[in-house]
Amino acid sequence: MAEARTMEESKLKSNNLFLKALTAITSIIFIIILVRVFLLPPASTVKLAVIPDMEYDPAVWGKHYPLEYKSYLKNREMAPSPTGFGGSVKDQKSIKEPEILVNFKGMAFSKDYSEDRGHPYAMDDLKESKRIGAATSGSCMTCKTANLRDIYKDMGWNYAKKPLTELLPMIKHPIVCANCHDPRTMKLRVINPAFIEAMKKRNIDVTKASREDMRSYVCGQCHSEYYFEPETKRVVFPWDKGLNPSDVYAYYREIPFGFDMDWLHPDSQAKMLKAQHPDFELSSGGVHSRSGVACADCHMPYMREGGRKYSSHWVTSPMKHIQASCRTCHTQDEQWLLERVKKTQNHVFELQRIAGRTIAQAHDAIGKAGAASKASNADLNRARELIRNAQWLWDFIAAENSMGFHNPDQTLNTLGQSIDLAHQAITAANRATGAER
Amino acid sequence: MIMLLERAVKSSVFKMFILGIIVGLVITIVAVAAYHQSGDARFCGACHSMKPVHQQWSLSNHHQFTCTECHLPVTHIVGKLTYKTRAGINDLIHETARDYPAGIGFSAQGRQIVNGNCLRCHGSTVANTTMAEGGADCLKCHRYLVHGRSQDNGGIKVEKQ
Repeated sequence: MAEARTMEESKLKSNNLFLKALTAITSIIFIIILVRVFLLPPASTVKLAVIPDMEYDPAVWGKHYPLEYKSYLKNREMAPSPTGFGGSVKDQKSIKEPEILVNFKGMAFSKDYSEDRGHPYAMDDLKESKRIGAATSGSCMTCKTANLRDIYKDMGWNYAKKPLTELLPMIKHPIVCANCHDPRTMKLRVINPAFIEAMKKRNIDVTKASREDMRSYVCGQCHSEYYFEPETKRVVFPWDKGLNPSDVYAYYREIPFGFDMDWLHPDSQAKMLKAQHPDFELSSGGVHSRSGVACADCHMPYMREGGRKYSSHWVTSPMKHIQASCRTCHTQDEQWLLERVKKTQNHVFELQRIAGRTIAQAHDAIGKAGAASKASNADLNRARELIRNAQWLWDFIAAENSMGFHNPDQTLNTLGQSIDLAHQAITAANRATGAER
Repeated sequence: MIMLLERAVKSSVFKMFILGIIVGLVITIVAVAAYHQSGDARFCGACHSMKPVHQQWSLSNHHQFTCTECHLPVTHIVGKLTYKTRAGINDLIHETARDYPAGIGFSAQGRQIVNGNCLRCHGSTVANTTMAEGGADCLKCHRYLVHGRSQDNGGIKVEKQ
């Protein structure tokens, strides 16, 4: 009898305990939900921090803007691009495209032409490049560091003519937060004087630009074609006649500030030009840009962590985060979108190789024609002008960083023209020696 | 006769019956109120993850309809309640965990449900066109109709301290 009662009691007790535990767990879950969803929701704004105007250390900025800084640090990652083109691994481009060695013969790009790494490596890559030597001018660091601000403030364009080695001790940081942000407001800004001057010539005041425009200008201040004015070594953007490859070539044909060539090709004896990453120029005519999509929309898409929205500062191929970059607008699945981009880039690479190889043949043909004793000088000079134009168009696309994706139709048109001009150059060279009349 | 009625009123069975009706009524009222309240756009928009879509909807030319009028399946009340419970629990989990992405997209089922609701009103408009031939997805073309990009608040607001 007594035994049965204790059994009953213990059963009741355990039932009680179970109920208590259930109530406790439910209450805890309820409180967690209440706090996280209603009482303390994630912040929807960023609190402005006080950072001194001259502070360029990204780690200091990162203390106040941790999500952005964490994504910036991902720029240190060295990884190939998912499409097989571009990427941030320091590979020599001439391995995949040996015609580079012929087309850039006699100048530094045939010695060292590697794929670029992320922004934190800008100064390291500059110092390590075999293209840099004792004769290198200070203008080369214009786009590599935020310290440019102070250097330009102190000396104006005079820094450009000084030897790079003299400026190196003043440079403490590579491309960091301050290159694009004003620390007092966190608004976007540009610091490259060459870009500001070039935009002024196009009647655009960058201090009055809209936020949406600035989301491309901060990139365009460096991802653009430029040359050094021979006298002062000042950086100049060749945009007076427009941003298309043929517009820029028309500008160079007028020999601005006495700038007639980057180097003389030893085989063809043609006065050659070297194109520099015209990403801003090519993309500005592309369908994405024309539809109002800024560089940052794809390369620095909005991400979320812990419910907080932030702009990714991992500036890389959008193919590494298709969901955030493309699917904001495009509804197709990730694999479909990646295949589309690959298709475009494969088409471009095929024609880029054809153009590059035809130009290499043309250098050889003109070189041989020039060595022949009875060659016609008029035809030879005509051939040299043609190859200069052909190589400019090829190089404009080859030096650009998107393998044509930024503007596929313009790219294929440009490469088509380049191939035709290269063939015309070969024909003119043959005509010079009388091989074709 | 009256005596009999008096006794019946005093009986526990009758009391239980009345109490049952009252409790049942209260539960029904609370449940119906909760169902409608939780279908209200203000309720949905109270969550952090839903703020952008709520903002877009409020500026669209479909803002006279609540979220659930498009996002609950076209079916009987049991089906609606089942879906609502399942979706609600899913939302609550991710809102609490804060693991939702920057852009929240449709599930295959979610897309189907919204399409069904488009046709609930606009069915006769497309009835005699190729769009009614089955398998058509209204949102392929009309995807920005309610949650338009142009109405997006956009950007990240910087706040002075």
